[in-house]
Amino acid sequence: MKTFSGQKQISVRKQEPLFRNIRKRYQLWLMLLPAILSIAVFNYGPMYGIQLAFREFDFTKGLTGGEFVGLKYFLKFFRSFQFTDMIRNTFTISFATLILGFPVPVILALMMNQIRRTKVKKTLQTVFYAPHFISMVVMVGLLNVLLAPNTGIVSSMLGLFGININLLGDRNAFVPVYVLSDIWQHAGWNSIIYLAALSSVDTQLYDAARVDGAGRWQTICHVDIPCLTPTMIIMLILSMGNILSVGFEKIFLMQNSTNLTVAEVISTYVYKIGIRSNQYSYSAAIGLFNTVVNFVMLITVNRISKKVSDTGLF
Amino acid sequence: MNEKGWRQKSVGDRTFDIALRILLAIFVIIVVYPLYFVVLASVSDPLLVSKGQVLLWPKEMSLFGFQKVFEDTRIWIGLRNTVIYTVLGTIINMAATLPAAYALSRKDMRGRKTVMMFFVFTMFFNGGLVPTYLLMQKLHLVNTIWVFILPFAVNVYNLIIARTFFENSIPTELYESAALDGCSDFKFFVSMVMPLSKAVVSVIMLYYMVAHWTDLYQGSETKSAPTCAAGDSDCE
Repeated sequence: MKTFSGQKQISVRKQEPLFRNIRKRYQLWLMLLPAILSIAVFNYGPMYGIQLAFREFDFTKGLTGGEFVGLKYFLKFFRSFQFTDMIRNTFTISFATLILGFPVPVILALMMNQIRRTKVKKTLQTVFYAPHFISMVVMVGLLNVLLAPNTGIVSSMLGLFGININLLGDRNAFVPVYVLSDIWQHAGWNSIIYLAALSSVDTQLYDAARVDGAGRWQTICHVDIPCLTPTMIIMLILSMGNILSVGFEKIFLMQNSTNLTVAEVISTYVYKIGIRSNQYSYSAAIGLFNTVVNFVMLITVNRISKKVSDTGLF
Repeated sequence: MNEKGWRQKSVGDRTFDIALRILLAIFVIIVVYPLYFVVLASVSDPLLVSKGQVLLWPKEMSLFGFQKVFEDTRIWIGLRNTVIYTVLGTIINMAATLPAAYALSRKDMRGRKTVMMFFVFTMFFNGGLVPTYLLMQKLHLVNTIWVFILPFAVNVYNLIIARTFFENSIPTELYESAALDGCSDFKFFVSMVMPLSKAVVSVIMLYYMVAHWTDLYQGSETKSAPTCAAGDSDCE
């Protein structure tokens, strides 16, 4: 356990036996109990259904009664002609969102943290959070109006710079439109976590920096950013673990016949195959493939992070 | 601004101030305009909106859209239900998440790594739509209000945020000195940890509330046949 955790413990005491520790810390275990129960019932409960990926689904025999078919559905997925396209699309969209979208909330939080007047700060926060509350359907409708060729304001502005592109129909525009609108909608909201981390930075550090003659830019670089790093690493690991699970609703709503070759991702495919055409076993197999890849990513990034920076999830 | 006057500031800080203001102003415009446009479009003549002629101020005021909304009673029932589910659901979420997060942040609790693994595992493995539905049915939760409130009381993501905060900002010495004075774990959590963690508590609460508020999936999954998923219009 000690070698696995890698976390430096300051107090080096002799570890007492587990049972004695539980008895001594029974109140902590009681505090954990509701969470453990909830997770066990509602998250682990349905997991036995994963075996569906290895069985034929039979309505009369229920989830576990179907005939065992081994890896049939996994092979079907790997051999399907859409497989490579879909994997490429999923990775492109999620890496673009990650690389472009990750720094923006940090920068926003650092900027808002620089504002001293609380009233201005509160107003700005409200403004930046607002787009998050727009439901996905309205959001895509909004995109359709703003980006419409000829009439939409974004298209007309791009036209001024000599860029004439159908933002909604062109295949090359799909990923930028998806990623940028995603940042527009969620960057402010995602900055909350960094603002909270910044608000708990020890003010003595700022005083010390000022005594040492640091300007505001230097204070950001040498106080704020180092204090944010643990939070940033945790957020990065978490988003790496979701690398294959790009948002279903938005992509599904943005799909049209012209951009389908770049817009078909795993989650929309699972939906179309499994739910629309009732191939439960096939969709369960794809879902399992998805989670396995995510899990491997998470473990890898967490290991690297532990080695490099001593911060990690577990 | 702080006590220093504008003139006393260094050149670097002044440039910084100006750059900061310009950047923030640009960001505000980028965020606000599309939102403003929604308001504009809702009170303007639909035809002009679709022609792209409504850009800065409303044209041909028309409240047709709002009229339709107010006439539709289903919207009000939906709104009432959403408020109920949000309030009750968030209470349960907080009651399950925060104590657990605190317990997991305590370094002197053995087995916390194992419990954390038990939680984190569920973030990346789940049973899928059909088994989840069948479980809800077995527990007689389908078509009751509990299906919105009880399941998934703990969002592991929020749990990790809270745990990280507790780990970093509640000093071990604080607990040790409180324990010397005879403070139990419960009491320490309620009267020391909670007041010291207002920032993270409000963040987590907000996260849970918004999740309940915009939740479409849970409702469509558990009110109708298992073959329905979010966004499936055939299943309404």
